[in-house]
Order: sequence, then structure tokens, then C-alpha cells
Amino acid sequence: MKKSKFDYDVIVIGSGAAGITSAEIIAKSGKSVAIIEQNRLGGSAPYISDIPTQALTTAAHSLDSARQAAEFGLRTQTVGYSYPLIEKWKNLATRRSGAKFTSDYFNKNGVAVFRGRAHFISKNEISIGRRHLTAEKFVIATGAKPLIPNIAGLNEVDYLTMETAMNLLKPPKSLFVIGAGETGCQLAEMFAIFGTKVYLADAKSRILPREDEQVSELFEEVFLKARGMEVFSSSRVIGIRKHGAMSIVTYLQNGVERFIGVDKVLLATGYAPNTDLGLGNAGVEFDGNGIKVNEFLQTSVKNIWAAGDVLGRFGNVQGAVYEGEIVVANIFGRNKIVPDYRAMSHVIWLSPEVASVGASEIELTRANIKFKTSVVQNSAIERAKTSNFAVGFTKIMTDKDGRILGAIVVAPHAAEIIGELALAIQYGMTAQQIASTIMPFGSWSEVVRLACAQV
Amino acid sequence: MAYVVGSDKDFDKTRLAKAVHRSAVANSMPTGQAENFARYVVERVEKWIQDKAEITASELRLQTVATMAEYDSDVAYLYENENKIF
Amino acid sequence: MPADFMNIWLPLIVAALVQASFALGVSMLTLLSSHILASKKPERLGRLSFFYIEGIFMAVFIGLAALVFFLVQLPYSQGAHFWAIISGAATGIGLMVLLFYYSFGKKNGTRLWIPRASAEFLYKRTRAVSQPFEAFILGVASVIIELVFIIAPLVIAANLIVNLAGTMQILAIFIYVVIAILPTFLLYLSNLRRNKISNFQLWREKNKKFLQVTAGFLLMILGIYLFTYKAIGG
Repeated sequence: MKKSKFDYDVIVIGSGAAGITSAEIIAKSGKSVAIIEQNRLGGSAPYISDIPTQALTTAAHSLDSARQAAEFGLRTQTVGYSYPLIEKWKNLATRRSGAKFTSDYFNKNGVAVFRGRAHFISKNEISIGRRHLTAEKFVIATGAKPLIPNIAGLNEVDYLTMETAMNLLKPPKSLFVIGAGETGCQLAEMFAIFGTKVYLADAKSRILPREDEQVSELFEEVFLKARGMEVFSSSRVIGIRKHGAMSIVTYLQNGVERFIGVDKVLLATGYAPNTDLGLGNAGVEFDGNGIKVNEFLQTSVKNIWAAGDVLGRFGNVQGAVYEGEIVVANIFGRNKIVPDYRAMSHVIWLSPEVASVGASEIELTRANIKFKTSVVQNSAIERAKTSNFAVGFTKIMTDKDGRILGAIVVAPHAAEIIGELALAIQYGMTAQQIASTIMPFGSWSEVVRLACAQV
Repeated sequence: MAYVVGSDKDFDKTRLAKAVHRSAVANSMPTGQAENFARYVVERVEKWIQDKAEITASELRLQTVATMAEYDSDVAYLYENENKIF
Repeated sequence: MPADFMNIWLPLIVAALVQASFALGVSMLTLLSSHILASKKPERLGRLSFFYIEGIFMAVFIGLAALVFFLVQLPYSQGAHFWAIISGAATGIGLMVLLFYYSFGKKNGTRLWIPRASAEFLYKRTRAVSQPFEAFILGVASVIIELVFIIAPLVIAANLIVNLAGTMQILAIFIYVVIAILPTFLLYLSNLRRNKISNFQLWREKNKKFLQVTAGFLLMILGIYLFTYKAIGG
């Protein structure tokens, strides 16, 4: 048998969702594959982002529901919480989720594991520490890290990021959240439920700036009225300084400088892709937004591919897994596949949940596509009345033939409901087809059926 | 200390500081300012290197140029192009 | 006089401008200046640069004078055939300049046609200059190295100057040399005023294509002009 001139057929850098997916599929196909991981095997989702956030927000939303259960005749005067126990629960959830990702697990599945920081020396060679490995092909799945903004005085205070916020021993008395995107809003709401006085600021003109405008408006109202938060849109933080145990945050709102003293400051200003791995040595093009790839997820160097958060596209696990699969198909397949993200849903774990799939109104408008819209408030369905929760809506966008182009569901269990709409978009179904499907009476899905019927 | 592939030795911050200082002074920067400039650049480059076991000579150069350019793009240009004058 | 101007002075000035647009002398002075400024004795800049320019001046002056002297002895130097050869060579070298003078690629700064090993050697020699005579020799060397390109304008200039009276020949040679080394001299003055080297170098890099095209086309046009005027018309 001819000895390969490379140590491995493929080396996957990063063991997050995209990296694990690629490595496992490659190993199953019989090729020699190694995975390189600098931190914990499994990436950020089980330990830092999705799982711990969801575990904590589940606890927070349960607490919130319990407090409101007096409306159902329950005695809720003594409903409270123990934050150490909540932390314990979060750690349990994290362990359950990330536990299987050990070196043994990978080895058993035919994937060699190397621990350390990978650094490209050339397009076929990387170094890990002082050890060099070569491969015919590479998959870069190094993910992203929290973006630390350039704010005067930031280094003087002990600020929180998503990771450190998950590991607090108790919720702060007051919290200033810089960045009102998905992460910022999730954490802000969670801490507000636990009793923290939360100030939420974003330089953009509305919170959740990437979501539909109606979603932003709804949650701004919810945060203000139901959570007791203060929301500062069009506000840019220009400085932070320490004042005893407090942090004084100075921000510019409509040209006026204001300041607030808080216990803690939380940075939720987005993510920067992890591209500091000697990409220049391999000739891979990248910029501040991520690694540049063609439509097949191939980088500027033919034998190097990239998938997941390092591309700076979606920042979710489902997208990373999908891209991991596509990359492997394109590395070894004759016919290259272009990823189709139309039916990829996106969820924000607020209360109510926000789930969207397909194109947004803004995207359709920019693309000059004529579309029809239908919006139905949750209050229109029976489930809202029986669960005493009417906040939220469903919006459906279709083309002139009624084919569903995009959808937003803001409701409890929206993450479960959105699946049917993702299926509809995937298979080109029309709103009429959804509307004519029998949904269980008294379920949240009825709002979807109503919205589709009204398009 | 990171090993520099291509020059086959460990990263030498004194050598880098001298090279940066040289470029700064060659571009008519006052000596004191050039010394501060070199110190600042080397600190930033050292920070970039600290979690790397190996780097290549060309990326060290690129990183140095990028760091210099944040402070003085003219000196960064001279440093980058000194061996491309002829 | 007007006939003299069209026949001799105009092409002479054009030939000098062609030589002026070649870059090696300027490049070496740029490197020399940056090396001196960064050294422990930056005050030597004026003196060493002066001797460098003097080296270029003397090399071009003596070289041109020697060519004039040689061509005066040659009986057929003003003949149509000789002019045809010179103009053909000028056109060919002009084409070479257009194609090869600067290295291709955006990231090559102002790298020239010189083989890399020789360029490395020149680079080291330039940086090692510490004495006036070394600077002088370096100036002479820069002329000799670029002879493959500057020989065309030099021979053209020499063959034009042959037609002038005795003292006018010296004047013509002097004018040629002054024009030819003008860019280098201007850089010298700029460095004396401690202007940033990077500004000048950046300008050169941004305009290298323009300079290359100008030099190449000027040389080709000069060749065609002389062929028409001297080889056919003469």
C-alpha cells in the first residue's frame, strides 16, 4: 500500500458543532482524520453558550411562571430561588450535554485527538505547540469568541462576558448590559427575573436590531413593563470607570452624556471569529467578519475548508452542524453542494420565545421581491386565554402564489412551532396548505394556521 | 517563548525592538518618540505571540507591520518595504 | 539654431529625461539615507549622500565624455546605418523597460529587474556604507549596474553631442548629467530637510507604473524619432 505523504487525510481544527460533525462523518467514510482542540472538547455550545444559557433561562422562566401562577389559584407567596442550586442545575445540564465529548469517545469513532492550539505553517502543515502535523485537507471550525469593544476604562473594571456571567455565585444587584442583541437580551431578561436591576443599552436605534421591527417593539415594551428593565437604544457607551465596588458607565444618548453606577457590566457586543491561527501562512483570506469562502465553503486555498461560527454567518449550532455536513460532502463528493439556508430556523430564548425561519421583511424588500404579509396576535387563539399568556404574534410572508418565504413566531414554545414552518419553506409549501392542515385545538400552533389562513 | 519557523530561533524581542526603532528613526521620528514607539509595538506583538508556540517569520513581520500601522502608518510602510526598495 | 534645437538639443534633453526616470540611483540613495538616519551618527547624512551623488555625477559625466570622445574618432558615427542601429537598440530597450523594469505584483514595492541575489548584495553593501569614498563608489556602481538600460540614452546623447563645437560639447554633457541625476539630487535635498523617506518612497511606489511607461515610451519614441530624422532623413 502506498504510504501517504501526509499524516492525515483531513485535519479538523476545532471540536465545536461544525468540527465534530465533519470529523465524525469523515471517520465513518474510512478516511484518516484528526481533530485539534485548544479548550474543552465539544466547543462552546455545551459549556459556554447554548446549553448553560438555556439551562439558566429555563430556571428563570420557571420562576417567572411560578410567580404568575397565583392567577390559576396557586399559592405563590413563598416562591423564591436559591442561586447556588440554580448554578448546580446549570452545571448538571452542562455535564450531561458535554460529557460524551472525551478523547475516548473520539478515538472510538476513529478520530485522533490532539490537544493544543493549532497554527498553520503552510497550506498542508500545522504546528501544535512544537509538534508538526500534515494533512491533505483541512477543515477550519474554530468558532468565535466574545468581541471585547474598545471602551475607555474597560480594563479597569471586572466586566462580565457570556461565559463569566454563567458562572456567577449570585445575580448582581444591578447590571449594565452593553449590546441588546440576542445574547444581551437573553441574559438581561434572565437576570431581571432573578431580581437584578438591569440597564440594557445598544448603539442601534432598537433592541434586537437583527430581528423584525415588531419583535423589537414588543420586547422593548415587555422589558420595560414586565421586567422593570431600563432600555437605552441609540446609546453608545463611551467610558467605564471603577468607583469603589461599583462601575460607573458613561453613555451617549441622543448627543447627551449620561452615567449610571452599577454592580456589574456585561459585554454582549457580538462575536469575533477565531482567525488567529496563522491563516496568512496558508494563504487563506479572511477579514474581521470571518474566513472568506466560496459558495461551497471552500477557502481561497483549495485544500482548506471552513464551517461554523468562524465564517461569521449565523452563530448557531444548527447552522454549524449543517455546514459541517456540507463541507464533508464537498471535500469528497464529485458534485459540490451549495448550502441552502432558507429553511434554517433561528431561536431566541426569551419569554415568549422568538423563532424565525426563511427571509425577513427587510431582506425581501431589499431583494425587490413582492410579498404578502399576515400578522396574527396570540390573543386571537384559545391557548392564550387558557394559559393566561397573550403576549406575542405570528407573522407569515409569502410570495404572490402563496408560497411561504419567511415566518416569525413569538410565543411560548415557538422553537417547537417553527419546525412546521421550516418544513413548509424547505418543500415549497403554500400558506394555504398549512391553513388547511388540522392543528390540535388549544395548541399554540393554531396561531400559525390562523396567520397562514389570513395571508 | 515562541519559536520562529524560518529564522530557526526563538522570538527575540530586543532584535524586534531595534528593527522597529531603526525604521522609526530612519523616517525622521525623534529618538525618544521612536523608543516609546518601539516599546509599544514590541509589547503588543509579545501579547499576540504569548499563546503561540510557533510562528513563521513572515507572519511575525505582518503582525509587526499591522501593529506599527495603528500608531504610525508611514513607519509601518517603511518597515514593510525596506527590502523592496530595489 | 532652431535646426540645432530639433536635431540635437531636444533629443538630448529627452535622452536625459529617460535616464532620469530610471530608478536604481534613487532607490539606493533612499536605502542609504534610511540606514544613515538610523545609525549612531545621523549627522553624516549630508556628507555621505553628497559623495554618493558625486559618484553618480562623475560616472555619468566621464562615461558620456568618453563615449563622445570615442564616437568622434569613429568615421561612420553620423552615418544612417549607425543611427539605425542606435535607434533600433533604443526602441528595443524601451520595450524591455516597459516589460521588465519593475517587478510585477502589487506587493513588490519598487523592486527592480535586478536578480534577487544581486539585489541582496547591493542591499547589504548600501547598508554597510560608513565612509565618504564608500558612498562615492556606491554612486559609481549604481550607474554601472544600470548600464544595460542607460546605455541607450547615453549613446544617443553622445552621438548627438559629437555634432557640437568644442566648448558646447562640455556644456551639453553637463546639461545632460544635471537632468539625468535631478531626481536623485532632489531626494538628497529632501533628506537634508529631514522630510519623511516614506512619503517619497510611497509616491514612487504609487507612480511606478507611470514612471515605467514614461521611460519606456520616451525611449521608444526617441528611437523612432532618431530613426526618422537621422537614419532615413539624414
